[in-house]
This record gives sequence, structure tokens and C-alpha cells, in this order.
Amino acid sequence: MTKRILALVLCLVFAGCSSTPKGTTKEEVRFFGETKVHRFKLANGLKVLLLEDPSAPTFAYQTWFDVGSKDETKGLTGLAHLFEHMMFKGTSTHPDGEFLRLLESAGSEGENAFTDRDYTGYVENLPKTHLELVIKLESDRMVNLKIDDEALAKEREVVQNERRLRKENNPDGQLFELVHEMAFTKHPYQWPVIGYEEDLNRATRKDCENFYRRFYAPNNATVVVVGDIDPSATIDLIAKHYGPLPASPIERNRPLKEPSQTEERRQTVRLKVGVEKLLVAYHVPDVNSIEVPVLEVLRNILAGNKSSRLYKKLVDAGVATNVDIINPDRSNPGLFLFFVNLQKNQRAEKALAIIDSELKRIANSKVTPIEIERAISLHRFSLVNGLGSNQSKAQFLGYYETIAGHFERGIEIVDALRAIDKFALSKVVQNRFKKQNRSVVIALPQGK
Amino acid sequence: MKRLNQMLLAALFLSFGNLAFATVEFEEDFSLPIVYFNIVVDVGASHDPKEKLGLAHVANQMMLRGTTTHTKNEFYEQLNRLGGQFEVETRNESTVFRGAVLSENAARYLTLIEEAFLRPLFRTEELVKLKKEVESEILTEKSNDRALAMYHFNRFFFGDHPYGNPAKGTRKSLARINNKDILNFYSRYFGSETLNFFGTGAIKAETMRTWFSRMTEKLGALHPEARLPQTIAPPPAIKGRRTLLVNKPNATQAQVLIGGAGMRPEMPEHYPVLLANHVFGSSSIQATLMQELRVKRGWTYGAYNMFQYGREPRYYTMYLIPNTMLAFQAINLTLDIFENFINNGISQEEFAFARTSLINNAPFNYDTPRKRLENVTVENILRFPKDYHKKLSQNIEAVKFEQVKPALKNFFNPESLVLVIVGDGEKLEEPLTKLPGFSSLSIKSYTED
Repeated sequence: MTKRILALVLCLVFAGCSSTPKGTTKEEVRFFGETKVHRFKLANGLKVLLLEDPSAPTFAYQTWFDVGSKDETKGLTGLAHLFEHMMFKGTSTHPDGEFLRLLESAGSEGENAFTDRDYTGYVENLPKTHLELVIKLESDRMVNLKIDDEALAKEREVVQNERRLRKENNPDGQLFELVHEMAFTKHPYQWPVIGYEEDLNRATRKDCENFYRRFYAPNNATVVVVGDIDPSATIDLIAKHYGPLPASPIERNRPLKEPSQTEERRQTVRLKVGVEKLLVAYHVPDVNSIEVPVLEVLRNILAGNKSSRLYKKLVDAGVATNVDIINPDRSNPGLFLFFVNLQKNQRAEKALAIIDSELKRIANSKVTPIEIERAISLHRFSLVNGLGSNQSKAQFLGYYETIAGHFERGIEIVDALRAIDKFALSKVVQNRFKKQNRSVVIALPQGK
Repeated sequence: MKRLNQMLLAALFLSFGNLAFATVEFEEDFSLPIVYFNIVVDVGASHDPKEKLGLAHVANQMMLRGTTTHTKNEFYEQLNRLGGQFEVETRNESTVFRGAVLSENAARYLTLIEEAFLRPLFRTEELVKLKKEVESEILTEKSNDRALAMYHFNRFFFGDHPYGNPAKGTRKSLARINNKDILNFYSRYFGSETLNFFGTGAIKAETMRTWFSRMTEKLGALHPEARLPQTIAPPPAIKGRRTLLVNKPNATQAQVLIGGAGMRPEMPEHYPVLLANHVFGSSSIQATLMQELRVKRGWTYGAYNMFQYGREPRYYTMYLIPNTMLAFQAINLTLDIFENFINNGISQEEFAFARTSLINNAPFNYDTPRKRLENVTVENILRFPKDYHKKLSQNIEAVKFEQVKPALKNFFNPESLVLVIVGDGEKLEEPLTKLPGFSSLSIKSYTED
């Protein structure tokens, strides 16, 4: 009897133990509402974020690498993105095409990748029974990719076609490329993520291999898994497959600080457009700045919804068809962009004058509490709306973990919104939204 | 007797859920503090009079431009302050009003929405402003090559059939739309029996049903004569192969759409063709079109074959975006692959792979409440069988390999195709005259409506 009781007790003890794999650090961190993220770090530096959500029998799996076009050098722009294309080729374990075949056979959804100035991400969503499959495949291609010349040549042509689609034959793409080239004279944010045609033609297999060795390592990555998972079992699987991968030194280029802009920069171009277009970019600080929540409130006050100031003064007044503000959080100081499509026979200069006028009003603290309340409500709506899927939750976690160093920064920004008042807005606008801090590009119809 | 009572009770419950012939469906979901809904009105761009194309779009947009109680600005100031959004989409055969709000503000939000439906102001000044905006949107879209290609494909494919009506109209047709048209549109189509409701979110279903029922009752009292428009006749059959070149000088890339008559779920070929198309033209890199055009040759960024559905069959389109200098070869290769696909079908291995992938992927068709909301909305709009999306995997599973080849031959007619290409006419016109079987070549400037 005693032996049986002892055996039973021992079983219960071991069953109750959720031991973390050896060499792994673990913590639980608040997310939104009652949910918690399980954060781990393997001995080789791989960061892992796990969020349980059993509402559907699926999960989102994302791998975020801290590498983007910011890590390129002049003359070899577009390499981060070109290399992202190459990551779908063969490895020493799986021949070309097998990676995607296996995932698709398992029922994957949305398997894709994206490259930005600050990061490169690889994503897929799968039914919950296929967790180990994706862990195996992703850990394999993190270190075992094989790059061959023929595949590179073809993928280079695919990327050139993508460049034609997004830039050469796309006026908006051309404007965005121009404004970054004007706003940044030293920092790598100046060149487009897709790179320049001549640089893409220049990239060799060796360049890709070097890039892979430099940046694709567990200590430069975060794996995010959100969905119907058991965090304990998941970290065990991740440790099993990623644990043996060696860390490697990440050799970044010497950081290049963009010098402060001291005068307005302007360019007017003629493109195949039916109406004038305006793009205005102001320099703003990086994601960890205390100004970031203020900029978010500013964005919602000025544009993006039909009660915003610029919508009323531009669209409703018959000057523009639409006005948008693009203000992505960045790991380095970035840009706050106003983008306006004018109405027929309306001038971009007029829209610019209206934007200036509204900024001046805010600089003079002419902002009502209701406007701020509305901006915060809209942000909250946007946030809640964005948390409606495993994929978007994973995206939030991976994005902030990579650009800010910890995903909690995204939550801090949300929490900080409530404290914003007209004085905080006024201070940021006075500080940042000066003419000498901006670059302006205007597109005119050809022949006008 | 007990069984009869149960049947009567069930009938009462069902009729309560389908108020006065309107469909009302709501899925409670308290996982996030947000409420979504779609209100569908069965009138769209296909119902526009020929001389007033864009009417449905303009009239629908006018519903959001002020009420008898709030100006447009006041309306949106209140709406946005509640953490809400309200948009309208004019589709081909229907209109969808999409609402969303933080659930703690749902009651006040719904009051505003009801006001938009029951007391729109339709100010002439707003109509003038709106028409200018839409005209400028039409102009702006001419610099978007993909939008250009789709616009011209629709018009060229359907010709005079209403399915070819552009949702925003043309610059000429917009000018003819007046306030009386808007008022007539409103009273003709917004009544107690012409709206359907679909929603999901953190609120009691009963609350939403009651609100919708009350609103539609009032609409019915306002517009007792409101009725659904006439059904659209099936489009005429495509005969032969014809081409439209939309000339965009100096474009370094072409947008190519090659298509033929579409299908419906009721057709016996539907599921076998869907399965086979997963092999031929899905967005997967494994699909034949992607493999041959992108992976092996690098000739295009993407290559797919997609189906566009309507209440009558619309079309399928093979879409590719090649470098201008390779457009002719890419089109020829696509046609060759297409004919091979129809004549030879797919292999057993490809069949098994596609079947497994589609079945395993099925949970993603309805894994979030929002997806389920869009599914039921689309099923209603397109008159698909109920639970079409939920049952897709079991219908795919029921397909047998022997059914595929005959289904492809029955459904696809490679001799009747429409090709629309947006690109540099100087480089493309002459090669296009040499395309096999394409007897007629029309040319337009990209600036034309």
C-alpha cells in the first residue's frame, strides 16, 4: 500500500512539474486584458514569445529577425529583401519546394514573408496538430539554407518585377522612394527596401551567403507563437529543435546617425497621374521616445478618420480626395508622413498651406479635450480591432519585440495615451513640425 | 399533440429570427469588447440606369453625409468619439453598410446609425461635393495599373450587360445624377423587407435583433412601396477570343487579365474545378502558373487564376504582371499551360495533394468571428448555399479523381476568352495581333473612362 501511495505521489509530482528546458530563462508578462505572454530565452539567445488562445484549433507562427534594409550598404541595396525571397529555396535537409509543400499539405494559411527597414519576418498559420512540423522546418532554414546561382538569378528577376509593380509603374511608390532619399542623406533609411535595379543586378550568391551568415542566427531572432497551444509543450519542442543551433556574432555596420536637417527640402516631379499629389515628411524620434504616444494622438487628431481636422479642411472642403498620415514606429529616428491626393484642378501647395495652418493651431495649444478623447477612442478601437486574430496578436508581439527590444513597449505606448494633453501636443509640434525639419515632394500630371 | 406543439414553437422561433422576410443573424462573442455588423441592401452597381452609372454608389455615400439632426461632421465626431466606424461598400448586386464600435458604447452608436438610415438629409450641397470627390477618385485610379486593368476587364468582358457597370460610374454619368435620383433611390430600396442584418460581437443577440427590427419597422412605415430591384439576367455567352489593349505609354510592366465565363456552386463542375484550380492557379508558389511563370522563369511577380462570383456566373481570370518586353511570351505560355490543364487535367498525385491541403486548411475559413460574419454576408449576397464555407472541406473531400478531367472540359472553353492588357502600346500592339486565335484587337488610352 505504502509503495503504491509513494508511486502515485511521485507521478503526481512529476506530472505537475512544468520544467523549463535547461538553459532557458522564463517569465510571464501581462498582455492586454487578462492574457499573459510567456517569454523565454534559450541559451543560444533565441527569444520566444508564446500566447495561448484556444478559441480556434489553429495557431500563428512567426519568426522575426532583427535585420532589414537598415543593415545594407550603399551599392548593395535590396539585399535583405532579395535574401528573404531566397529563404524559400532548399536547405541541406529539404530540397527546393519541399518547405512549402509540407506546410501546404498540413493546411497552412498565409505562409509568407516581409522585409522592412528594421526587420524581416516569416509567417504562417497552421492547424494546431502541426506545431512540431513548422518548428522543425523553420529551425532548419534558419541555419541550413543552400543558395544556388540559378535560383538567385530567377528570384532576382522576380524582385525586379516586384520593383516595377511597386515603384516604376506606381506613382505613389515613386513619391515615397523620393521623399526618403531627400529626408535621409546618411542613414540607410534613405534607400527603398526593394533596392535599386542596378544594385539588385549586382548582388551575387556570395553576397547572399555573407548576409545569411551575418544576420540569420538564433540570437538575432524572436519566435512568436499565438493560438491553441500548450506553452510548456511548445517551449520544449522549440528548445529541442532550436536549442542545438549555435549563436553567432551579429556583425552590424557602423551605425550612421542622420544629421539634423536644417532647411526644408523640396522636389516637384511630373508623373502619370490625373491629379496632383503631395507627400510631406517630418523627422521624428524612434519607438522608445516619450514623444511616440503624443505622435499617435496627433495622427488621429489630424487625419485617418472623417472627424479629423485635415479631413474636414481638405476633403470636406473640396481640396483633396483623401489625406492619410503614415507614422510607423521605428528602431531608429524615422518619418511622420502626410500623404494627400488632390481633387481635380486643386493645387498641392494649397493643401500644404492648410496642413501648416493646422499644425500651427496645435502648436498654439488650440486642441480641445474632446478631440483628444476622440483620438484615444479611435486608437483603442484600432487596437482592439487589430487583436482579433492569432496572426495580428503575433504581429504586435514580434514587431515591438524586434524594433523596441521588448514587446511591452507597444503596451506602454497604449497606456501612455490617456495622459496626453494639449500641452504635450503643442510641445511636440513646436519641436518637430518645423519647416526646416521637413521634406516635401509634389507630383504634377505630365503635360500640366 | 406534444410533437405538434413543439413544431409550432420551432416555427415561431424561426419566424422571430427572420423578421418580415429580412434575414437577421448574430453571433455573440465576448472575447473582445467590440461589435461588428453588416447591413445588406440588395441593390448595387448592376441596377444603375445606363445614363446614370454610379448612382447606387453616390446614393449610398449620401446616406453618410448628414441627417436631419446632425451635419456630416457632427455625425462623425460623435461616431468616432464612441470608438466607432461606419462605412458603405457598393458592390455589383448589393450594398453593404459596415459598422463597428467598442461594445461599451454600442447603445449610443446604434442610435446614431438608426438616424443615418431613417433621417438622412440629402443636402444638394453635399451631393455636389461628393460628385467632385468621386470624379477625382476616378482620375486618381487611372494611375493605379491594377485598378485600371480590372475596370477595363469588367467593361470589355460584359459589354452592355449590367455586370460591366463601374461602381463609381464615369465622369459623364456622374454629372447627370441629381438630388431627385438620390431621394427616389432611397425610397425605392430602403424598406422593411429589403434589408438584411448580420453581426457578431460582445453584445446580446436579442439587443441587436430588437434594434434592427425597430429600425426596419420605421423604414417600412416611411417607404411602404420599397421593393428589391429586378433580378439581373444572366450575361450573354462569350464567343471567340478578343483582346483589349489599354495603352499606357512607357509602362515597363504589363497588367494582363485573361478570362472566360464563370461558375456557381450549383454547377456540378464547381467542386472538382475548384480543387483542380488549386493545382493550376491558386496563390501558392506550388501552383502550376506560379511555378512556370515565376519560379522557373522569373517572368512575373505573381500568376493566378481566380473566380469572381455573382448571382449569375461572372468570370474567372488568369492574372499576371510581366515585364513589358516579356509580356507576349508570358501570355503565350499561359495559354499553352491553360490548354494543357483543360485537356490533360491534373495527376493523381496533384489531386491528392490539393485535396489534403484544402481539407486541412478548412478551419481557416471560419476560425474568427469576423470571418464567420463575412462568410454569412457573402453567402447571402451571392445567394450561395447556406454554410457554403463551413461545408467546403466536406464537399472537396467528396470529389473523386475521375470527376476532375470531365469537369474541366465541360466548364472551361479555351476558344472563348477575353484578354485585357494594360501596358505600353508601342511595344505590345504589334505582337498582340499575332496571338493565336485572337481575331479582334481593340485599343484604348488609359485616360479614357
